[in-house]
Amino acid sequence: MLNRNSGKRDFTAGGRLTSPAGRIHFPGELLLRSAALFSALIIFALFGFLAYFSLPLFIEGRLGELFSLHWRPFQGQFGILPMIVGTLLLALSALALAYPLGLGICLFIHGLGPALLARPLLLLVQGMTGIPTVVYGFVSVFLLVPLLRNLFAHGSGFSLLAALLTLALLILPTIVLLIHSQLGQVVPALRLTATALGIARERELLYISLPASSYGLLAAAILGFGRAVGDTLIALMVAGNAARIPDSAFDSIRTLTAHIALVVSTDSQSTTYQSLFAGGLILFLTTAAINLLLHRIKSRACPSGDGS
Amino acid sequence: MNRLVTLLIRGWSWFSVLLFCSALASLLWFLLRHGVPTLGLELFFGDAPVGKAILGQVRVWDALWPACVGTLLLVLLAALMALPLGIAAGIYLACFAAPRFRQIMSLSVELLAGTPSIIMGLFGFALILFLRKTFFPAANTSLLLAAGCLALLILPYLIFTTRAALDSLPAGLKMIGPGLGLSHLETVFHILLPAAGRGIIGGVILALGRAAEDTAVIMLTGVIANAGLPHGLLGKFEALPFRIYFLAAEYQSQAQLDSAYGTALVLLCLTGLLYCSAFLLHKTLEWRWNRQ
Amino acid sequence: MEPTVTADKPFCLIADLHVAFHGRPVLKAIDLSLDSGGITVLLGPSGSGKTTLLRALNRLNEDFPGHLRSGRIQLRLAGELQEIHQPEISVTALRRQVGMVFQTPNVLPTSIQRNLLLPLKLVTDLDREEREARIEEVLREVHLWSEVKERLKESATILSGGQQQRLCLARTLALKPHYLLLDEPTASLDFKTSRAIEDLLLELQENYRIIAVSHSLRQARKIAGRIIVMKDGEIVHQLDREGIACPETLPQLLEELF
Repeated sequence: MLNRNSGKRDFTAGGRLTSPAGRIHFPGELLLRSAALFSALIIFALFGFLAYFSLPLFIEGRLGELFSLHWRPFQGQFGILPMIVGTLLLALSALALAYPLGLGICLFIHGLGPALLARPLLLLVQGMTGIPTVVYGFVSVFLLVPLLRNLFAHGSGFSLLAALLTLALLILPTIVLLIHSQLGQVVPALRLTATALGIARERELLYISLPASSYGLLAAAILGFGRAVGDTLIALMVAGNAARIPDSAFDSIRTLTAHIALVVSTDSQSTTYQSLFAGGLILFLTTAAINLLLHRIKSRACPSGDGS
Repeated sequence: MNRLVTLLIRGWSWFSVLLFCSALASLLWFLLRHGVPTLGLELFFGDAPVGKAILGQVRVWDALWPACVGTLLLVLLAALMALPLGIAAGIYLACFAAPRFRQIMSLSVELLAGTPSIIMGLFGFALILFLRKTFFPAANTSLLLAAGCLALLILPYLIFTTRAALDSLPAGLKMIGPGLGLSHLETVFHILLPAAGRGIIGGVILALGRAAEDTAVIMLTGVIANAGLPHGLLGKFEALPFRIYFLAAEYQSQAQLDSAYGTALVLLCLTGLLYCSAFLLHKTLEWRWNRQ
Repeated sequence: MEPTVTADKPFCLIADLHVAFHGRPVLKAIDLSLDSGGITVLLGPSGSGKTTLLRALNRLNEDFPGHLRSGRIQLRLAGELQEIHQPEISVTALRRQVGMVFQTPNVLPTSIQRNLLLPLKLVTDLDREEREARIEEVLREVHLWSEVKERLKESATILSGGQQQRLCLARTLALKPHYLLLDEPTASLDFKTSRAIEDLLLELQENYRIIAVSHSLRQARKIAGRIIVMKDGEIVHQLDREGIACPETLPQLLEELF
């Protein structure tokens, strides 16, 4: 009975291969499967439409036209470079503001602030995700913009600065919640050890817990950036929408998203649309790349799961 | 040196929280201070008699009613399109899909979830351009189109929450069916789905909130400022978030500005209500499992 | 119901059974023949493959990803030894005859009654009255009837751990299985409740062929008619009643293992 047949063995040889039970086919399964397939294919349909409508630009080799600095549709100039620059400037600066703040809030929740306040603060951050974007924009127009106008006495107040302040507040919950969920997995396990070793909480967070949740830190930055790039309303409402590269934070900018919204609602002629769809395509590819990156990081952080 | 670092970190963390709280507080305070005085029947119906306005016999000017109806219809239509699709796809991914398939589909849906809403709007707009060129020269943006694009926007949320609600059921519960000799189908539909029901409903409510608040999609697909009550599926319409955006940019009088404050407050209450109910559902769910 | 426990004929034959998950072998060349003579207890350190062996008997392993199997398992079904993997036997029909109860009580978060009713409705074609009679019968069988008969409509989650586990047992018994597979049925219960479940199992062995995984030597000694000791995916020892009764063998054996 003992060890009669040890060592490796070919499982396909001895008996038939078992297929997993439960993959039973039933009429409704086709319905469910098509629903899933359809949902998965939408992303390709989006890409297809955007590509189809911006195709003429690529075929006729008018890419230089696209990447020029001048948006003067009535003179036949359709450069969207200022919008690309505006998008990047706004998203990066909003992230640069929101990220350290988000980190600070997370550290507060995880031990630097009074434990009594941690839970209500987290609830507040979660609740913030329920505030409509347009409400942020609206309050910003009537509260922040006049404030900036009076404070700096520089232009109308509709500026990169106003937009980045508002946008930072908008993406803050995203950043906080992601870092928090990572820290929440790491801290309880490490804290007891660290405390037993006599390590102060600040040092424990800085040198042990934060490095241990590097995945969350990276993902939060990427996701926050993605949110900022994709936002339309804040930029549209408070950034001023001048289609040129700004000289300072007090200047007006226009993002790609706002550009699309503006041009469509002013109903121009069809040549404008090509440039518009090209802008949409660039935006789409950017966010897709961001999400692919996020997916890679996630599946590397938890290889057992399927990364979602 | 160490002392300094410690002090800096602690200081920064307090500063972040205070800044965040004061920003949020001033936002809410500002909205409440200007919005609450405007609340009342007049905000919703203007000068029109309420009964007749609700029945659609009288046109309502400069008030919320048409936008409320527009948003309601928009959300309902979008839900009608996205719910069956999203829940079915979520169930398939959680319970039936082979691992490889599941992985690819999840990635694809994840990409859709990360796509900015303005792209969904642009897609709808492109669809109309395409239809004009090909089959229907008279095609135009409309309530139906906007609802369809909103459905695309909330679809990934529905899929993920449905899938997550099923995935996160306790392992013991998942074994009941096979242990008793129920077929996989019976297990899914009689044991797993009822148990995951609340989680799925919570996801649905959150998705409705998303649909109600989004502005970028409908801007490109048929919302206008003074449509009145929507004229059928292929007509233009008004909506709450767009009204806020529009009035913020183009208000002509103090009365219109006041109305804008009121609208913003109403929309905030609406999404807040949806959000809270989803949150409470989620909490009771957690509580129910933890008690076992 | 056919007489389930007949003497001296094997009711379970396993020949050269190999099971692997994701290419990692968990069971290696298992050969086993079980005949009557009380409860069979699988004993061994964690990771020794005892739960996998148990799950092989109702083909539950197939529900886990990366599963590969070779070898034969025959169980006595409808009076005859039958290969459980042959295509004529459906998995669901097999599992109804080979009932299983898990480590942690897994009641449905609904009423006590619905816990028992749902599988009956889905699996059997009993009418309403027969179903209610069956529910009372199995609740009496697990000594739960007097405790819950007044509150069948209440949530099953308010029952104590031991009551929940007995409810799970009743849910399985309601489908009239011939076999009972128990995966550490008292692992999540306190000492006193465990005792009660053990006494219950000793009663049930009259009517069902019971195979149980256990983590406790005391428990194995108390309930087992036969002990199978496993290590690293192999059966390293079998003890019959005399072996179990002998005060030295078992502790010695376990010392080698753990």
